Amino acid sequence: MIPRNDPALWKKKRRTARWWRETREGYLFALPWLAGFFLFTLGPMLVSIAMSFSRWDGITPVSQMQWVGTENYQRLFTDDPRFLKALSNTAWYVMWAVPFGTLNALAMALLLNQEVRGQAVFRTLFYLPSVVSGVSTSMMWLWLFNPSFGPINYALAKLGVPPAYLPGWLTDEHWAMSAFIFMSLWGVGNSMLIYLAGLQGVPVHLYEAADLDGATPWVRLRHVTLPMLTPTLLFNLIMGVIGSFQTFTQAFVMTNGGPNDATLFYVLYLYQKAFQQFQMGYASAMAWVLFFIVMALTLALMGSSKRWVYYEGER
Amino acid sequence: MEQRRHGWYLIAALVLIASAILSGCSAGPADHRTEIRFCFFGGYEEWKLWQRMAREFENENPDLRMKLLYWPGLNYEDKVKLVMAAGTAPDIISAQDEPFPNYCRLNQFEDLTPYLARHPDEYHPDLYFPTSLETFRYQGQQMAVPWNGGQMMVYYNRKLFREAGLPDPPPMDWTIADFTEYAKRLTHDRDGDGRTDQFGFEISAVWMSSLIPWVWTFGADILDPEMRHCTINTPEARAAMQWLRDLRYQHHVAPQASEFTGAAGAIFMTGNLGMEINGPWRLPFMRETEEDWDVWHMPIGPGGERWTRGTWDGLAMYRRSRRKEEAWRFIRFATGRRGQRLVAEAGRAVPPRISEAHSDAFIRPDTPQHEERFLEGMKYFRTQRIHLRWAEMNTILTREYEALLLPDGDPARAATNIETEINALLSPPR
Amino acid sequence: MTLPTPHNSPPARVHPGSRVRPVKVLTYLALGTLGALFLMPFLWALSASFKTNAEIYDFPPRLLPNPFHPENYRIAVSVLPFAQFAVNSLVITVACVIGQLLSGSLVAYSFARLRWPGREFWFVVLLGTMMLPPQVTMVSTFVGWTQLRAVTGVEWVDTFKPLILPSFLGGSAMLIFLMRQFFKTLPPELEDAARIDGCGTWLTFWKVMLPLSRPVLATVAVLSFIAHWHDFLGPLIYLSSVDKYTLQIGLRMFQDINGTRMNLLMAASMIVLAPVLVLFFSAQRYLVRGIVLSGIKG
Repeated sequence: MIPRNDPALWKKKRRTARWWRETREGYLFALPWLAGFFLFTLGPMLVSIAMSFSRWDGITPVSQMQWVGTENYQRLFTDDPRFLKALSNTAWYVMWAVPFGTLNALAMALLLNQEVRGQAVFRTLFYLPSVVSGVSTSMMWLWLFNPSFGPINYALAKLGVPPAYLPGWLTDEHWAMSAFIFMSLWGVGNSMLIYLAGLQGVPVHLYEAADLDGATPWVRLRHVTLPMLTPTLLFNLIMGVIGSFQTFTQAFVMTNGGPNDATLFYVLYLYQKAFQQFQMGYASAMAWVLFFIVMALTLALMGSSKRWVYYEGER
Repeated sequence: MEQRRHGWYLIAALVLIASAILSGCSAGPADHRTEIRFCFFGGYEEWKLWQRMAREFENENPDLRMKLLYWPGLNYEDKVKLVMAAGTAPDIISAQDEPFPNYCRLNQFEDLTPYLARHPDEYHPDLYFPTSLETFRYQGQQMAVPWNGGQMMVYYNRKLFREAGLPDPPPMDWTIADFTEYAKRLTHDRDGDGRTDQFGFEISAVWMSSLIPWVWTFGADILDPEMRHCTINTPEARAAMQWLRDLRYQHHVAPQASEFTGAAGAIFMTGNLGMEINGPWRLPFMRETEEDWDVWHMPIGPGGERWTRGTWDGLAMYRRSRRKEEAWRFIRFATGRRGQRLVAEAGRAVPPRISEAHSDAFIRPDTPQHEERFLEGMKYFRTQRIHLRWAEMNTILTREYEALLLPDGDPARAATNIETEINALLSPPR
Repeated sequence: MTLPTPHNSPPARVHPGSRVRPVKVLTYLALGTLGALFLMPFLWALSASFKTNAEIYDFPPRLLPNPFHPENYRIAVSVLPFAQFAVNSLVITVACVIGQLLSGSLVAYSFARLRWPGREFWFVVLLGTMMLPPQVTMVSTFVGWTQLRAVTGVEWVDTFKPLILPSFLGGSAMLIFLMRQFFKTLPPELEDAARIDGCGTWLTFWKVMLPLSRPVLATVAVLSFIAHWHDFLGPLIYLSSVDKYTLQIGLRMFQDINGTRMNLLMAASMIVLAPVLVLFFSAQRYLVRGIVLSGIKG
């Protein structure tokens, strides 16, 4: 009854009329994106590959690009301590922000999926930090983390932390990155929203079956909710990795990489090279190094997903 | 099958609506005046200033229409680079001193020397503050005309000065040592809780007041006059750095990083700061506070020198503009007496044209403050010469400055690092 | 044709009786505490929007402005053509959301459910487009849009076109990915049922998939709305004339390298925030009832 999902049929290489129809329809449905990709995305990507092997100021006609082979890539790894610093800063940030952000968003979504009075209000509240405009958010964080005026340290002081031990947050080399990680936990509204949507996709009959078996809430979470959420989890993990590696705006506005390069994020450094120092070629090489790092991580996650991600539609 | 059609109809309708929206926004009103495009940056004061400027200019030039391209925020230079790369930059570009030489090197600006030569009496060097025209010279040619600028001066809180029994204003010949002493007397723990809540001075994190003016005051410089190597690793420069550190850690008259980090200049506006260093662009913000403040001169360094860092913005003409003559008419208006008067009235920067800088529009005799001290300060106004790789040098300077001011910072290490890294930038090959 | 029961009660209600009470209390406690934490920055912004620039930094922090400065709002909307910016933002954002929902769901359906050679490859390419920092493709993308004029005869930059058109061509890769993940979780029985009833691929998509996907479509609408409503870089790159600016560019006019008018910025931000909150508040109800299984007539 379900021939479409019969893998055996798919594996057959014989190009039947059905094969042609499915292929045609597949490409037709994907056509908007394919067209956009070929029209607007592919060209600039190819140009940036070429730039990464060249020296170019970013302003003069592209024809004046000067081919330098792999020089940019070599300089990155042999002659640029700031690049390595930016890379390790960012890797450290991703290491903390992605797993904790994922957990935090998931916990919030589970909490907000409870049927409680004022659910809509609570959801809106939890989502607030994610919807305030970027420029105002940065200003808010500068104030929240303000070591002397900010309410965070005010609260810590009230809790009895002696003044000498109050963190300097963004002004302190050793705390600045932690401040950014905290910020990322606060702004997980979007992933929370996505989990919430995912939670609605859990078929109720599974819960009912679990209840018939007398499952405890924990068992229901562990064996019904979480497995059904794994596609969403995979999505949030991949997007978390892609997004965290490209952290830019907050760092650009709030610290500009300081103090002492403690918050020099990868893309911030790339931006400085591309737009402030007229080294578009070097910046492109950086971009492609990042591309391959993120791509490797993403493919690893997708590869592993066959073991832990459960698609209801692919039973 | 009926339903299938509905779907496509819906899509077709939406596509039609979308294309209507898309085409609707490209229609422009018919106008037979020649349009000049001009891009600039800044806060909304600049927006108001240029709107006014354009209106007056259009009244005088009925055949021309100004198209004001106001690109706000911190990304002005990014946008300028994009339109240059596309070859569609505006006819006139408001240029900042730091990226300026690179735009010239990349052949983006028209040489304005012949244009200025047409009106020798309007652009006589004596009519300008000397550093202003100089800032926009590249390989001996005048590539832009300055339109506003200013320098760092001391803003001080008069009420706190009175409370501390300090002379208001300080003596004309006050020195770095006096400055330190003032800062000490302006620092208090007012409620006795063991935590200082009033500081004498805030070590600025603002872009141009950071290290450079103090290095100059102590008699050193960042680069040698030919910009061939870095000259910061000298006893004088290290003394300047040590002095800044002492303000923070030894005398503790400047808040440490963990004691205050509002937005730039915020602590002054709360009335808890005796002195800060800032430029005239701070005036509109200061005028909005209820504090009793005024402006005073920079202190004299140990070697008897007095310096401050200043900067100018200029109007440049895009080399590929097709309306150069018309563009020049606007540049001439904006940098002429009437335009400069409007700059003075905007009250946030010094007009480089001396006659208008000295007008009541800038000095504002009606306010209790002495804006004219910015004009007196022109005597020791100094600009940083901008090397083609200044952006990178600036990053190094900023990073080492930040590191210097951290608790374990060290002047010798900062000086060595800056010297090594800047020299590496300066040594060919690129 | 048997279908899962359309009845769908949220998990928390499944355990009736006294065992639920302490859980409920804990839930409210957690919600209240976290809610307060999340509200704090917003309250600060709200209070800052009624203060003078100096009062914002008073210590100890004061939440209630004293006195109130409601004129901040008047100044914020009067120094700039704010109404014009709002209209522009709305036109761009609404057009983008429509485009995103229509084209994005098509593409996602193709990646999730249709079988075609090269699908996995193109999916990795789709993910790949997100991995290259836009800073290095920005210049050539912009130059491309500028040069479209020579090809098409009409101006593209400094119009809304470069901001809107991509949304009709799949839009955000992230949102396509999101919809694909969601489509993949839907039980295949419903589609098969529709096919047996003689629906083609298009009708299956339109009549079965989309109605089942209300939670994710609502999510995508919210995310897409917020992304475009808050987009700063796009309008900054493609728009040059002030009369075409969006609210986000307007906000930057209060922020300057030489100082930020925090109170005006916050007042303006509050105005900009309002529609987003209304939208979210009304969209989140689609995230309550679960899949609308009754939408199908087997």
